[in-house]
Amino acid sequence: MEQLYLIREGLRSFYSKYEGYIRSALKFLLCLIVLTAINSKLGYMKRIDNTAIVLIISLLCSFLPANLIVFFSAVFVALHAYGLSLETAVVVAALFFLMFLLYYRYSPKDTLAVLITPLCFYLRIPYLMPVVFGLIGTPLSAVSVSCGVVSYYVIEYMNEHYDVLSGMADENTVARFKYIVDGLLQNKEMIVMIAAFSVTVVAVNVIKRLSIDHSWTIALLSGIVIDMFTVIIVGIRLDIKINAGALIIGSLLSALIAVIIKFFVFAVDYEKTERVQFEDDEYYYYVKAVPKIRKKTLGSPEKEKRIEPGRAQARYRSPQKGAN
Amino acid sequence: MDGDRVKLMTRMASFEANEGRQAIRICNYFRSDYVILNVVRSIVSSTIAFMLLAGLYIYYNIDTLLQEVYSMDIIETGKTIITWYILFVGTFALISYVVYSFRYDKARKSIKDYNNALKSLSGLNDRS
Repeated sequence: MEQLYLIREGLRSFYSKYEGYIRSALKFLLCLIVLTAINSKLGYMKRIDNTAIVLIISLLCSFLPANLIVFFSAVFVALHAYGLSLETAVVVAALFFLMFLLYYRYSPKDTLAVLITPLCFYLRIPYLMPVVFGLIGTPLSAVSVSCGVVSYYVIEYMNEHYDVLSGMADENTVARFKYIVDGLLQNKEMIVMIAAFSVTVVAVNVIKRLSIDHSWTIALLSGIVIDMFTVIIVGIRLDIKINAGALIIGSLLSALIAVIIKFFVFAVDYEKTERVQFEDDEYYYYVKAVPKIRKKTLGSPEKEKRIEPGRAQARYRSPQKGAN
Repeated sequence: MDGDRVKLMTRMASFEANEGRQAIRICNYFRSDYVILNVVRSIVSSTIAFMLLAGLYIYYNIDTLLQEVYSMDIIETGKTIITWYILFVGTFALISYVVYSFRYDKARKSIKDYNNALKSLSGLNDRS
């Protein structure tokens, strides 16, 4: 256990030292993985199914705001949908535009859920998302995770119905449009997942806020159980087949990953080293403020305890009088 | 050089560079101006969303609508559309009112703390 704490502290100090580079690298990797996954799953428009384009956009996203990864991914999905048929592109673009207008405009911090949720589905650990967003977000994060679920099923729908959609060229546009909308709206599995994930996000968030010891761990584990039961109950109500093995293994794997994330990410303040400049009447100050190592007492964020004195909180370089 | 003063100024500079940037931007408005401006923005965006949804609905049901268009009670249909529009946009306007009022109060509180820090700094300056 001691070793794990040491690794965690090492990670924390590494992060605070190279925060800028790490964030850029993570954004680059996320964009690269997401766009490559979209191209490999859909790939109907050959012009954008190109590694060079994916690399250029990923590099661009590495120093642009993270929400632009979502924008580029939505554009990629819509363009591939256009490669399939105009009607599919209209439905997909309208869906993404509605998500932006009605939700993400108010809550831009949650936008990455729409990317990470489909990724978790492909990694067979979708049950991780409602637990993680229940822990770090608000009850409204249920909407973000649900948008992610919708995005996954839209991509899957295009992937599974490629033959039918591309073979409907003789049908009129209204018939094609109806086929796509019906296929998306009548997807019972999607409804089950939206219901289960929404209930889980709200439940995890409520339990996390309770003033009891280990509220985060209890919220995490009960979230996985609630998720499993909601999937089973709503699945039976809507009369859909549920793969029990995949549900149990996926849930256990999600629980394990959630515990690891909680230990390495949520339990520690990953504060970055601040570099600020200011001046008074006499000096110009160039200050590098290095955060002290702290361990959060989870469940009651207001109580934080310092576990190691660390370095001085604020250090300043020799101030230069009159320097710019 | 006064260590306490440097620490305080560092915290304030860090606040100005990070979370304070948005709080300062929000508090440049009066509460009512800020909330009303964002409610109006929400009304505009939900109106666009409503029109988009209505367009998709009409296109989906175009065959039925074309058959029924001559026998349709225009006034009754208009009333139904307006009711749905008011319900839809009203819901989003209400949500925006709550969300942006909360955001303004939160920003106001952090600016208040920042002003207290400014006063402390001024006290330290007078002392030295």
